[in-house]
Amino acid sequence: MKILVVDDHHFNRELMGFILSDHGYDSVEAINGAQACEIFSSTSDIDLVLMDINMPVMDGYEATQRIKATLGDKLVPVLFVTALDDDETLTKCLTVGGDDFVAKPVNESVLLAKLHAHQRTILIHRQLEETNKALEYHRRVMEREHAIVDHVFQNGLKQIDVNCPNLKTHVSPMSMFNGDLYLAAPSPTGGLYVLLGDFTGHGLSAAIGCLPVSNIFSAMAEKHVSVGDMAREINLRLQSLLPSNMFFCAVIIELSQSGDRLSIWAGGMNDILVLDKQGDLIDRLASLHMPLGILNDHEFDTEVRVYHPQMESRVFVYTDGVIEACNNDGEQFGEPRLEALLNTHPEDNVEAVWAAVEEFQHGGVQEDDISMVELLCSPLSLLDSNGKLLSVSNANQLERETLPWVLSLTLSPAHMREGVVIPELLNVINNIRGVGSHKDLLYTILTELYNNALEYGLLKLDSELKLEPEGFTAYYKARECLLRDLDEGEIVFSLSVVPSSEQQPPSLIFSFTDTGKGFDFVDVANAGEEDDLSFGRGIDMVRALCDSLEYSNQGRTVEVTYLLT
Amino acid sequence: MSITCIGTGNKEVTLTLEETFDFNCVEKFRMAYEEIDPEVCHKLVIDMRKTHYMDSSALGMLINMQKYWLGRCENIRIVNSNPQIRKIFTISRFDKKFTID
Repeated sequence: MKILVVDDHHFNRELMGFILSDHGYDSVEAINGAQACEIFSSTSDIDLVLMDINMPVMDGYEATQRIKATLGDKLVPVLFVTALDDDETLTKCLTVGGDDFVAKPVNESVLLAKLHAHQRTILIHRQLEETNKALEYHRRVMEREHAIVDHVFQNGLKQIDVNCPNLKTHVSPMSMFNGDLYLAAPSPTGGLYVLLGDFTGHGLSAAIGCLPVSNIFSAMAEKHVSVGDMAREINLRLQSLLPSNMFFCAVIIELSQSGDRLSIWAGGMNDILVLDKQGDLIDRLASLHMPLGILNDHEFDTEVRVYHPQMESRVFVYTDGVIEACNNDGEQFGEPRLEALLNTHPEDNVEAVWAAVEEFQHGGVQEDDISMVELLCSPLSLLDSNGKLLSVSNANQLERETLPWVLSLTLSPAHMREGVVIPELLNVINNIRGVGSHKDLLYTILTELYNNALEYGLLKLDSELKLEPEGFTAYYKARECLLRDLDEGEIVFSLSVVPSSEQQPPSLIFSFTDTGKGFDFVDVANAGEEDDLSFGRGIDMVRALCDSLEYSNQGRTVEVTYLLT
Repeated sequence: MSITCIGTGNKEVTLTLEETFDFNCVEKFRMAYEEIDPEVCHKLVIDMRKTHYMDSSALGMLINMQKYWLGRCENIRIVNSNPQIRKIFTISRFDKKFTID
């Protein structure tokens, strides 16, 4: 430990120096305040100062003030060494920044005891400083990591761009990361999937599960699975991912495009509230299941509640944070307050509830994530952010020109027996640019034409067989037998792709030619005129789906043109 | 590949069809709807969320099903059909025979 001794009397400095060196302290000396300041600023390792008061050039008070002013957070105790012991002097010593006094003449054991005491303080102060530094370092590391995680969340939780006038939402996380999760996605049939859930806890640890859930949700919405199967998939993932004391309460809803059919899977959430057109609370739908992430897959229950709401009724879903918000007396907002508020028919329920909760909390600290969703049950129109109507076919628009393919295939009875002709053909055709969203209808068209060629052309089946339900079965039994025994004949398929021109979009021209005896296509085409018949719709249907349909070659060849619009 | 049948409460029974609904399903589909107990089924729902491919025999099967259930249940709905399938229903005027949404 290095001590600066400041005294204008040579004798005092020498005495002090002896005592200090006797006990293993280093010391440096200054003859007045000014020199003390100079030495102090040029020597960085001085741990303590022994300061006389009355000195020429600069006194001890001033020197102490100057030295202390340069210290910042560092602790270097200044002990005044003085013969004066009046209150005024002692008070001044402390007000200019001194830490203690030693009486003159100096008593060796008192001086040493004081030095020891201040050494302890210095040690504690240094430890504190180091701890603070470490804390500051960790705070910076955490901030940086949070920023990275936040970035990942922003990208990973990318919401599907759904702008739906039927949806009103409020989401306010308690901290940077949200343990509540709200997701919405259009269904391929123009309906809407909505998920609102609440992970155990809040903050980053709760939010971590949002990523896999959001990925599963959007992938499964695209595949158009039922909300029960969606819940099962999420459960399976969370069960393997989360520690056993963590789970995910959630409501998953699918609203049909017509707005009058809700499929609901709800686990561990507050009752879903149903409000009629006037805004009166008419129904509470309780969660039927356990939260997600608890049950094993084989115990999991995918049962879905199907609810047929009245037109323009509304469904209100909320997380715990809403009713568990506390006021200054520790009282919770509670369900009764929520329901009473909704029954006053505010103009915007979500906004009104949030305003009420905020007022109730009275500027206090929000203790959980708070989220709400309100869904209006009326026919849906889903818009993207540009206000354009979202639809499946929009997504598959032609980007580049279609190539002028020509494809031909000759099928023998052996090929026909394999039963995979149409799926394989469709796989090939699906690779033609622009076909994507037409795949489903092309399946219908190809199947119809192929089956006609096979059943009427080669197998000579009679569709009258299908008049009765039993006949329907008999017909297909007969088809099976005849096909099994078929040993001659072929069906030739051909396809040409006509790229778009100024007059029309790209089109596909298909033809099927069979080597049968031909048939009276006029007769077959008219068979479906009676509405209740269970057969004979095929050709009419194909005709309606295609731009043109023509038979030739006594019914052995059929050619259709399909526009890729 | 299978057709699944589950009760969804309120005496409503849902039959969920597979990706392809064509003549290969004739027997399976008929068995599925004939096995439902009319006592527990007042409303029948055909869920086509998974169905992409359909031929005209599928329409025949639906007509047969409707004939079978006529007078036994109040209402048959076809739900979650994709836009292509819905187009086929519209073309064949099935929207007049079934509730389709």
